[in-house]
Amino acid sequence: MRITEMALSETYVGNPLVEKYLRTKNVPTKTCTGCGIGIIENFVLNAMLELDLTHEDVVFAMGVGCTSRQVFATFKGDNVDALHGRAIPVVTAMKLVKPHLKFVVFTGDGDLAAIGNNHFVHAARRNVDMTVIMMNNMNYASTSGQHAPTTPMGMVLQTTPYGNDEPMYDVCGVAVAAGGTFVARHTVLQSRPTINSIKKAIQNVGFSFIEILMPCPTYLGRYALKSSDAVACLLWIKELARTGEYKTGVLHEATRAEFSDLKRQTIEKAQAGRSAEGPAVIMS
Amino acid sequence: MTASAPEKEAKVREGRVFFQQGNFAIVEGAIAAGCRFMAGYPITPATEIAEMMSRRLPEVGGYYVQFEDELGSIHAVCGASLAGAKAMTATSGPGFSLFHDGYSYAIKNEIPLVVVDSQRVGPANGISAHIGCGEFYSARYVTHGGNYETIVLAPNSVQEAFYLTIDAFNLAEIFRTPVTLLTDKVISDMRETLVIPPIENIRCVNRISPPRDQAFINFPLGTSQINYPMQVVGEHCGGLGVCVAPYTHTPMGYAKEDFETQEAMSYRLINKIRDHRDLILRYEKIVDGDEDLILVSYGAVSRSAKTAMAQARQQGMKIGFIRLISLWPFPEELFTWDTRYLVCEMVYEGQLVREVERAAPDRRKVHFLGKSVELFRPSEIVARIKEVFGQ
Ligand SMILES: Cc1ncc(C[n+]2csc(CCOP(=O)(O)OP(=O)(O)O)c2C)c(N)n1
Ligand code: SF4
Repeated sequence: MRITEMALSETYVGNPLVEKYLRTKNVPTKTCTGCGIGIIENFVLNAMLELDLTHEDVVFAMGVGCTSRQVFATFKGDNVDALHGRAIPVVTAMKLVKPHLKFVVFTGDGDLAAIGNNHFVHAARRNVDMTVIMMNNMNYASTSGQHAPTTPMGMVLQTTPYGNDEPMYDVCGVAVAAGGTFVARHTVLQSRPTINSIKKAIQNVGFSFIEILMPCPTYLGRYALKSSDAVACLLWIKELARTGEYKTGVLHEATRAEFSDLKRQTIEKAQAGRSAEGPAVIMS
Repeated sequence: MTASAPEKEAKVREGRVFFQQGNFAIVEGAIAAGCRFMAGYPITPATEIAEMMSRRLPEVGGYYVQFEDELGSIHAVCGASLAGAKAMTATSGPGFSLFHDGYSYAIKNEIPLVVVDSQRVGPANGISAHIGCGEFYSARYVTHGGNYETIVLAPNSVQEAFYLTIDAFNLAEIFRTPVTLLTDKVISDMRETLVIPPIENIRCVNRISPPRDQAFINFPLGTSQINYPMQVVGEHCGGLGVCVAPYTHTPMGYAKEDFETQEAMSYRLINKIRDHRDLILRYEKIVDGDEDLILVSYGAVSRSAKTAMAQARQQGMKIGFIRLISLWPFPEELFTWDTRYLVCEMVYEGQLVREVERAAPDRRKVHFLGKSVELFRPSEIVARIKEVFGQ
């Protein structure tokens, strides 16, 4: 933690991304040494810069987990951190009320694919305009290293002492099947492709989903890889992507009517048919 | 905020008159109060609220979204309100249980919204189309963690359902907190005359937001201030933007897990309601001062109780009547008189009765009559009164 703080405080002074987009008093955060969360936040800021977006154009939402806690309140502009798994319904409603805004959701693999899965599937089906970034550390890090739906079979974590006996969840596959209109998978080591995907995701008027495999040396490293060395964790991730075991790249792109647009069409239909004054059935 | 009787009579003349259900009254009350977002999930006996809102909201430029479950609904209502819309959701017991997650978020983050719970008999799915009023306490202790007070209102007629829904929205804005309208299967479903006054006769409390680009403290911890402005998502009011956390928060909304912040935040949530409970307190009381027994009830049950009081009085008994309209904060002051109380409730184990026992000077004089599935016949209540007198 100390090393991260030092490294960050050295770089953030005068860093245009930090000055432009972050609440400088709230960074650096308390992520562990070698954690991937800061790298991913950096990708998002780069994407915003390249798209010429300001903090007034984007609302940042999160759930509960390291992935949420470490980015919450770091952004200038609105930071809405929901309860565990619930960022998506909160954003779905905010998108209706404030349709001109872009919404970026930071979530973990447990937050989204376990407790929040129902909302995720239905937001993809509805094609709600939001960009969901699932930071996959293959475990529940906040609660210190239990297995998640995204944990590979056989992996030993705090709740899989005999090796994980459940199959791994293909979250991107579900995002596609449920109707997401931009779906990509990357690792934190693929900076340019990931930034490009985030840009496309934000520009896509519809439900965009990006899974980013990231290192969690503290728990994934320590329990599953038997080393909390950050570099070892990164090399392991690199190898997964290289062998194709963890397929990366843009997986799906489509165009489909967006949720808040359809809801506004419903309003037009309703208002064309009837005066807005009062109920139709009057008794006397 | 509820109009007085003569005011209402005047409005009968100028308003529109319906013969309608309680659920209809709730829908029209919500629209009149300015509600423009509803998250729904069908459940008897609240289903018609979702159905009617899906028709009515688009007519007035609002949104109805049917969520994947009640967890989705309650969190969506939080989101809609954070973005500046007056918002509600409606359910019955099984869905109310699922609201407990998001209700805590709304309480802690001071998010105004309205939740309707039309009670049916439980536990679990119970008997779907029958009355039972088991959420008296769970509406008070509506979520985990403690350190909060809640506002709960309970109508006993279709007309009152209309006015109390408006009150619920207004109180939610005044206090920046969720408000529960705790109704029941009978009030939701039954039809009565309903007068909807002209919209200009309805007083609505609207959201105040702080000015754009000026530093602003969104959470005045350490105070019990009400009518306090609220930062709205996407409006850049109050400096840098809104911060809303799932954890204990500082005045700026930043997460901070320490003793001082926890204490300041908790007392704000408690005291903003305790210090202004006179704005919430609503009841109906028919007590002359010489009664030997007072019937106590809320919701649909109070209609049986009132008739029972009339019948008992005809038989020469001195019987009074107290009906709670606001259930929480609990109106202890109504029970300071040292006389007999008979609490009639639509649950077998008794819930309201426990609060009356706590508030009354002599708990041995507090009696109970419980039932479920169908309302009391007034004769059942009169019989119980006689039993109490015989004891
Ligand atoms: C309703 C609820 N259940 C459980 C928890 C405890 N909890 C906090 S974070 C978390 C897991 C988070 O995992 P993930 O989303 O993968 O994020 P990570 O911490 O790994 O970044 C859990 C189970 C909670 N806060 N709320
Ligand atoms: S526990 Fe893992 S995910 Fe959480 S901050 Fe540390 S390295 Fe990052």
